[in-house]
Amino acid sequence: MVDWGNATSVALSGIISVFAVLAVLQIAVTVSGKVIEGMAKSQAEKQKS
Amino acid sequence: MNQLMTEIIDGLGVMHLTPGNVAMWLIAFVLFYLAIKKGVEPLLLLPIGFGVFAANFPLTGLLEEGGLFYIFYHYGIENELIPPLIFLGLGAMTDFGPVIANPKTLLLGAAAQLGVYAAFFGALFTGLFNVKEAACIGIIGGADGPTSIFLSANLAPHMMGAVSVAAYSYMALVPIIIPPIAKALTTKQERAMPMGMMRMPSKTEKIVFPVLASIVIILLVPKSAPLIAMFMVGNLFMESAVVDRLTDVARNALMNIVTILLGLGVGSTMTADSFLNSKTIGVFIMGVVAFAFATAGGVLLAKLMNLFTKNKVNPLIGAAGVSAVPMAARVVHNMGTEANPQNYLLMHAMGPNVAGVIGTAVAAGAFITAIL
Repeated sequence: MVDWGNATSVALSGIISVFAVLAVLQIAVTVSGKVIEGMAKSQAEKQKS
Repeated sequence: MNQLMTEIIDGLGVMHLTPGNVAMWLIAFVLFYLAIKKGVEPLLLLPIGFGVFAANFPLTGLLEEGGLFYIFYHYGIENELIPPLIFLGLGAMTDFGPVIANPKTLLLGAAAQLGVYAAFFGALFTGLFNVKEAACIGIIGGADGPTSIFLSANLAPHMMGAVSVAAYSYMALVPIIIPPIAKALTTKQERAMPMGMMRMPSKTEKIVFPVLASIVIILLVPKSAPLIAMFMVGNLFMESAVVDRLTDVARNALMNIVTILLGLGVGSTMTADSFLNSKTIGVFIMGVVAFAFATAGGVLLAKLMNLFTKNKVNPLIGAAGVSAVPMAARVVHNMGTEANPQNYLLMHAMGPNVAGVIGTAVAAGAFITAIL
């Protein structure tokens, strides 16, 4: 006999975990990309000046 | 003299051969055929097939405690050693550039995991499986062999043979499974949508990614650590370009050795008693359901994202979220080119494709956290 309540909570926690992890990673990658790009630009400007 | 003859005859393997053993040999021969003649995932299906073949000889002791296959299985798979080592090699071969260039493709990899949960519920509805077994069937939708084996070792070791063969077989069927579903859910205009040139991420971004991804993923889903940590260290080896020897070993020699041990170990679990039952048929049927819903999930989320974002994506790339790297991305690319010969979707599709690998590892970790 399947415990549907338990099964639903397993699935819900999984879906939420997958989306939460990848959404947070998306934000982290976007932010880190901008920071690294900014640092590279300011370094390039310093070298020019 | 009579007793001696009885002992000699009784010691002959042939006297203990059962119809179940012969049936499993036939299954092994099918796997040989698929691997050798059809080229279906030969690196895995050939050793798995021989594992099945050898494990079904009577009186060998291969599967008894201390036996050779027992050692492969117990120390390599049951103790969760080999799947993470495979992930080390995969990490050393994976280019996260497309994900870094277009981070929103990570969400498409997440959406493709909906197939995992659709098959999970589908398996439970059949009434044949409990929650642990249904989770192992669901993960087939992630189209990631090592993750399927990792989860089966944790939750339902008796299902490992069927789950892994289904996962690897369906991965090879990606060119047949993805196109009809992706076509049904998109218009020709959507499939023809071109995507611009992708920016090239810097070396620093590529080095930062595995560290950043480890922090985010392992902090949020700690049970995914064995797979994610090894995946990311392999990638750091490659991207840092300072440990070429380690990168080379991880993606060549080590990968090949553990693939042999994994294949034989998994194949050896497929004895007549554990494989020849109605549950195995259920695993294969639900595997297709998992793949179909995974493809649909990725495509539909891509269409949904297009409603709210400025930089639209070709919805086909969502279908590449069903891991199966890089075959799913190639299939998507071909479909895009078919709709518009000017379309070049391969690198864009690689984003959700590698995001799908991460998503499946996270889904496996989430199952372990919730069930164990």
